Amino acid sequence: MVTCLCGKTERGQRPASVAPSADTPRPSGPWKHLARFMAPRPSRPGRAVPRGGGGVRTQAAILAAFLIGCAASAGALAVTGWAQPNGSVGIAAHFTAMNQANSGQAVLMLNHDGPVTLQAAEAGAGDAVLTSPSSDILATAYKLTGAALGSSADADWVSASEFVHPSRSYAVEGAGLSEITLSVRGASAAGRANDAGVYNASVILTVSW
Amino acid sequence: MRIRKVFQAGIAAVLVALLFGLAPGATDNCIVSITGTVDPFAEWSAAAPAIAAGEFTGSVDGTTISQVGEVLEATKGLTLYANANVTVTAAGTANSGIATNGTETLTTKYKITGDVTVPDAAWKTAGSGVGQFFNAGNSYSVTHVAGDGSYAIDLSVRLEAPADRSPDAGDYTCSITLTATW
Repeated sequence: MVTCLCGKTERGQRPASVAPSADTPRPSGPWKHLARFMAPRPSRPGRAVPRGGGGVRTQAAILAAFLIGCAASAGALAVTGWAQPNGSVGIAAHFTAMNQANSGQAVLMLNHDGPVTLQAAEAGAGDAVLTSPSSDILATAYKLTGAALGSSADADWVSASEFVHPSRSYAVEGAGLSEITLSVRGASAAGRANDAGVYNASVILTVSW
Repeated sequence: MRIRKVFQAGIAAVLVALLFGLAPGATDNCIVSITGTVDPFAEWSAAAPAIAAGEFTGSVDGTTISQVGEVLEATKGLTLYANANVTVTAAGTANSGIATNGTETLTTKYKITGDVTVPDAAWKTAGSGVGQFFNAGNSYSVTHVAGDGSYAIDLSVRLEAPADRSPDAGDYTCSITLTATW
């Protein structure tokens, strides 16, 4: 747990003591040293308080560092991540018969400053399977391809359950902006007519570094 | 004092940077949605099913007519795959749906049963007149049930030899077309 203790010091006012009291949680471990280092130095008796107060400049420096950190989190300094937080794959061809397979794909852009790992997951059980409002399903398969995937790229279709299995991962090689192609194939049933309607699915592609 | 503050600021910057995602072990997600559409459709399990001579039964010797007035019957189980409500109609094609051998014919009748709303309770004569099997008003409804998509349609055929004479020997053939409309 990180506890932030913010003290306010007014101009010309003696800073309050930051020595931990019996009621104040005392940092432990590495934080103990950091807290001691970051704390303003107590004024010596008889010494004039510096103009502007000794803690103001320190707080200004911390604020500047915080802003730098925020900028980094906003992507100015971060170099690994998806160019878009959301993607979509539309299977353009409609299913008009039994035992019919149609597919679609989307190219996703991935920024990475070194080798990273890709994994697919589903938010809820069965989310990766194309499902109609009436709960009918199409046999759903996926394929991840792209030059950056190297030998871990899929050579053939992978069933939805296998695609989102936690044990399955893809190694993204190199660095820079890489194209990752997600292909999705739906297949209508062989022994009956699937219910008519729009079938939806979703997967979460996670890049880890 | 100034050096100390520079160090303080540096440590704070590193901490903030680590907290905001530059640390090893971070992740980033892309949520991909997929959409596909199934259109309403219907199709027969077989495009051109046949009822062979050997499938008829009912005569004295089994599968052939060998006596005056003898009757043969056969039923062909068909499967209609559909994801919408369907109307099935029949039309005579080869020999107008009447079993024919040259100029000789056998009285031919049909019946449709199975997963239709109102199955035939009696035979209907091949023809387009009122009450006959190929009449435009003679249709069969199949009501789709969500999640089903497979319906049994049984086509029965009845061949009757004349009661007052022997029909010419030989094979009698004809064909009909069943059309599913949705």
